[in-house]
Amino acid sequence: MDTASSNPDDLPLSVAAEEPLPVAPLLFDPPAALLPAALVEELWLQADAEACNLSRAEFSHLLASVGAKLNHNLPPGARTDPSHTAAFYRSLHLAELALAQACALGREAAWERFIGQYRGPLIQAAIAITGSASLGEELADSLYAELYGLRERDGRRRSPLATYTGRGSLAGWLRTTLVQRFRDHHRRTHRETPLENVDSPAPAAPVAAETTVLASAVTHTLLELDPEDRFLLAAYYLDRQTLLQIAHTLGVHEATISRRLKRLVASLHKQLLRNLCSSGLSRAAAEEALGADPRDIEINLRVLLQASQSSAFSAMRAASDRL
Amino acid sequence: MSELLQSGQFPGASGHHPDADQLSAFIEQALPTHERRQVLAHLAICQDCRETIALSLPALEIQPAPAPAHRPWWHGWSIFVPAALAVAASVFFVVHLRRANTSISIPAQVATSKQPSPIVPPPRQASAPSRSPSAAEQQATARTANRLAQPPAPSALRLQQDEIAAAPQATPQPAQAPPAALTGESAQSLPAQSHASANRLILAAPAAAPLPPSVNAPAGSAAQTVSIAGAAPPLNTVSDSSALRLAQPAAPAVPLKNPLPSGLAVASIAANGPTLLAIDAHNAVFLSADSGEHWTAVSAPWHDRAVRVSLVARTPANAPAMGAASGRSLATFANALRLQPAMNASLSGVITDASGAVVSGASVTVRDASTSAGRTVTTDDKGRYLAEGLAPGSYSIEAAAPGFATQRVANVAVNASRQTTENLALQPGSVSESVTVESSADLIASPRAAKSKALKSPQAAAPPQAIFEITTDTGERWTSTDGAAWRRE
Repeated sequence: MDTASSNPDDLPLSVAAEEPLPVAPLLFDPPAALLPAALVEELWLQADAEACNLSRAEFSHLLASVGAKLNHNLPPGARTDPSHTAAFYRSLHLAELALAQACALGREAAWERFIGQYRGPLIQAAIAITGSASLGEELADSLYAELYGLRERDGRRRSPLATYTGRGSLAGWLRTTLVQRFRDHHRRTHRETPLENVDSPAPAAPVAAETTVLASAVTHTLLELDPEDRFLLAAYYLDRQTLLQIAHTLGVHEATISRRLKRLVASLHKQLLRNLCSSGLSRAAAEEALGADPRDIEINLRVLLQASQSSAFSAMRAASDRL
Repeated sequence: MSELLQSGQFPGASGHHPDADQLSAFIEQALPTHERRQVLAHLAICQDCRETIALSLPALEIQPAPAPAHRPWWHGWSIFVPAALAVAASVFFVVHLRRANTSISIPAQVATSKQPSPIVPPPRQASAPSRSPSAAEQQATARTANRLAQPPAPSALRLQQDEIAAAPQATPQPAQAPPAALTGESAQSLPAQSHASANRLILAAPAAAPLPPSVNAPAGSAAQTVSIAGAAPPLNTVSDSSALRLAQPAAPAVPLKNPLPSGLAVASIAANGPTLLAIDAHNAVFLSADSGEHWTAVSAPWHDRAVRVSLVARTPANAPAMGAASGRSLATFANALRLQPAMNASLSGVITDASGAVVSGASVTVRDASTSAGRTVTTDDKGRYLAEGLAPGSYSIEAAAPGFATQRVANVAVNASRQTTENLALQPGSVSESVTVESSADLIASPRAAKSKALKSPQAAAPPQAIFEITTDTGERWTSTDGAAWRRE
């Protein structure tokens, strides 16, 4: 299974006391074009990059790299204009971006600032995520070591802070990174096979024809769902997330999630009936088939809900990797 | 959902996972739309990333409850504000409309009412229109006409006016045709029998408080008044407005020797001789047989709240004949209006007593010597009267006031387009003199005078019986002769 972290197997859980390696001068590949000097000056002052020992040239180069990586928040292939470019840069968390990139570059002033601002919240978040004070502190320390760039690749220090683009807050980025490291740690230390990976025994009894039709209709109906609807169903029915959690994830009120789930289930019922009728069943037979025991249906909803229909994300990642 | 349905192989997510930067930006709603959809599509198929996001959310359980925002007091009531404004506007409009109707009706009342007296009189009524059993409107109008308005408290007067204004058939005139002038027009041009009968009705109840003619007249005459208003020329309404201001203080309140047993204020009161019936502010009814010396609570047979008590007269029914007669005279009256000369003359003066003090509330009847048509106006608090819209000619003036003998001046020349002044001094006398004088002749000489003889039939001339009537908040009417035994109308 692909993981969301990079090389978690050799992640040290304790910080070794050693001198940092020489840092790489640039975190991103050189951009095609630099920004206007006036805009850079404005953003540089706004980001207070000087306090992080980040020069104007470095900051300009950083902004240009971020803009090129994200295509200024435009869809792939879309062309930007100067006004949109300026609006995009102004929408970033510039101070946190400058701090993160200065830390990734190994600037001591930036590290002092980073530790003063984020060390306490980072440990608190790690304890909250792991549910254990000792494990939380250990996880936070290991992440510090990783952020400091104790690992090197291709002869250059690599800090995960270099991947921060400033679209979200630095605190949110740290929390998400902590969760990824915690999941990696949990995966390393808990080697049990999940129940969901155990193959269910093959059904002994022959499957009824109506059940087969119903399974086909369910499969067809779920595959037609919108990705966001599938996310709702998966998060609510498979992950057993609460309405409040889903609402926070999507940034809406939990009542909205409740209504959308209710509408979604109702529309699923109608669509199922329609698909059943289109497969040759009468209306009454379709209604009867919907009343079948779910345990008699040989389908895997997790597989259906999580069947990928889009490779756009991979394509986007590939495109960004090419930059 | 069954756990068995969730079992199976996790297919794995094809391609890359979103990194921490994208996931954190997704959580903070900072991703552009297209990228957000891509992340959502990935989340729909990747349980790992869903769990990562669920764990990356700020701890929900330790999030402080949102502090009560400083919301304006009307927050949450935004949908009620338009409704409340609409209701307020409707109430304002209705109140304004009712007041406007009342202000139109009251001058007509002044023009036709006779001798407002603060003394509770013996109920003697020569004739009165009765209720029409066929039409509900005529019933309401006739009931109101039969009511002998005892000297009411100001609130009671207000209620009566409101009731009058609310009745559609009793809202007679458009703005450009004042009712007081209309009465004068009808007095000169046409023997409007209904007006004559209305005047007689008021005369028969000398102590009646001023009531609009549309109320005193039967339903037919009320309809006639509406038609007249459309044909009458526009007249000045200043004197009518002043008459309105004067008419209300003329209604005296019933004096209470002792307060009500409940100790509350009197909301409505009516007197029939020494018998007083009062409703306090909590809608309790009290009866006094000795002019308010001692009060006893009345056991209410009604289930609602009594809101108004009044004194009405129970009279035989003759309203249908009145309505028919009035209807027939309408066309003649309208034709006569068109033949009228320009009526722009006016007559005014001051009514004083023998000592020279002004007499307010005195009734002044201006009668055309050629047609015997008359108009009655009331003096204001300075003893002044004003009759406008008169045709040039010779007039006689009659001034009457409670406690004074009727004073009459004949052959007063009124010229066109100017105001003639005629002052009168009243001599002390009795009320009965005035009544005798007024009942001796029709105020409006009518070629259809024969129709009015219906009012003088033995049945109509029988003295009516004054009874108490209580109106509840649901509109029920209960009547009683003695204030103790009540019967629902």
